[in-house]
Amino acid sequence: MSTAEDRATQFADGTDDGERTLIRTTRNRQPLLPSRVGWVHYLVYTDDTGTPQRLQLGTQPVRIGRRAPCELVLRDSEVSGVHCEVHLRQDELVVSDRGSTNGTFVDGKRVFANELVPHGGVLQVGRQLIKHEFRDQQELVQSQELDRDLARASDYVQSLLPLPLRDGPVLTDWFFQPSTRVGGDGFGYHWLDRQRLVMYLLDVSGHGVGAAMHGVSVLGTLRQQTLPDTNFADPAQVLARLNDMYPMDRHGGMFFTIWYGVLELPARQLRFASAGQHPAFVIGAAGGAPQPLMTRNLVIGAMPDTPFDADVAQLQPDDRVYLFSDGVFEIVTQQDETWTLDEFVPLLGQALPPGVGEPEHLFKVVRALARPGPLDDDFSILTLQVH
Amino acid sequence: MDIQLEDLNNGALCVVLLGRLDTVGVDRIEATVTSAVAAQPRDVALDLDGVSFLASMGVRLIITLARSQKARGQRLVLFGARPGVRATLDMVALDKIIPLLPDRAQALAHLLSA
Repeated sequence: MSTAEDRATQFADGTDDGERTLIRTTRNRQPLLPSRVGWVHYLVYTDDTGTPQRLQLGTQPVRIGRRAPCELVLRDSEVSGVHCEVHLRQDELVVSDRGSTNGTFVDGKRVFANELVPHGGVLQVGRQLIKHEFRDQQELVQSQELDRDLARASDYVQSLLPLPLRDGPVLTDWFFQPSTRVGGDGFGYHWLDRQRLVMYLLDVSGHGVGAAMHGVSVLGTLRQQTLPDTNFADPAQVLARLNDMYPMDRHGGMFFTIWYGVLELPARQLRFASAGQHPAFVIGAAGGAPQPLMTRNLVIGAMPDTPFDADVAQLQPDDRVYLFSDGVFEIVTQQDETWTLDEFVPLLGQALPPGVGEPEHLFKVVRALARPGPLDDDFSILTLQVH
Repeated sequence: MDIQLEDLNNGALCVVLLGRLDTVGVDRIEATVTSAVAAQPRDVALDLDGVSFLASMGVRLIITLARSQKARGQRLVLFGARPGVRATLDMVALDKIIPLLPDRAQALAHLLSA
């Protein structure tokens, strides 16, 4: 958006290129930040489904509250009916509280009337965090195209995830919620033969399309069993071969962590190896403390010729095995505290509400504990129950 | 994320990292760290005492430094990791390829002894 005064603004070098803002003169005033042709103010918030949304601001004020007639409605019991109002004052975003019960905050400071919300500043309304963006519309279009690429990468990863096993000697369930940046998680399981089930969960370092592509490549290698000269029933050998095949210096500097196991029936013997990853856990039918299953190995791709250790666990009838990524527990809570694995593990194996699988239930519990907005990383949980 | 570069008594470079070593933090300091380390072949000690959080991108930075030091016949040691950071280093088993020392004095002693 630009004002008549802005349009009278000329760059010192005679151009009107909105990107070149270093040297310029103004006719009447010097704004706090220079006006830029084609730049627009946005409010970025999260809707009921957890999806980020972007509201473009124009000349009319925008009321924010829990119900109509607000232009921006937030379904949050801590938001008042009409909570606050924002409007543009030339190139600045201004907010005024409308007598809300729980207050309006800008970057953590409570505000009342006609307070500036800086570019990149965060407006807190109830439990909702709303970011103020001021950016080039054209650049935003390109950014949205990148977001669509990320969404497509995410869809591709999801298309590779296996269907849950609903009957047979092993039952599986899982929940996968990719982050908006796509975190590079992947997991799967398949029968090597009639008695041996392979299971794995991996997490590529970093985020974005590159991490997702790398994860897809590794998933394909495991699914298709295309590692050369490899006994896929031998977890240590599988990790060593993956380490040979995916050195980080030949894969964009990316490494990955993995937990890989082979369940042998009817003995219910689980051979496993993990590399750079926290433990998987097993809980018995009678409950009790979750037992960690982990071997300490270097992340995959870090260093050639690394030896890998494996271990074996004896499972009992109806034991449940949990594999999950670090995005499940490395969250920031509503109290702005960083969670840890130790705080998440006690949630495993708890009573479930009717009609909800445990992976989805755990997502809902974590989602409710986390600060508003999308989770920072992919959320992946896989459970396997052995009969 | 902030960074300070210091010379140790034995001629090694000490890289002091301060803040969260996550994607944003690594973006801010990676070029400075890699150019400082590449400027002159010498041993490097990473001071992690001021690192409050270590994410996978931070692990990647450390592994990359270890690999480049190894390729040039130089050593990398880490010291001062707080419990949370130490737990992450243990999880990814970085101690299998990089010595982890409790403090600067022991890091220096390690570099002098070898």
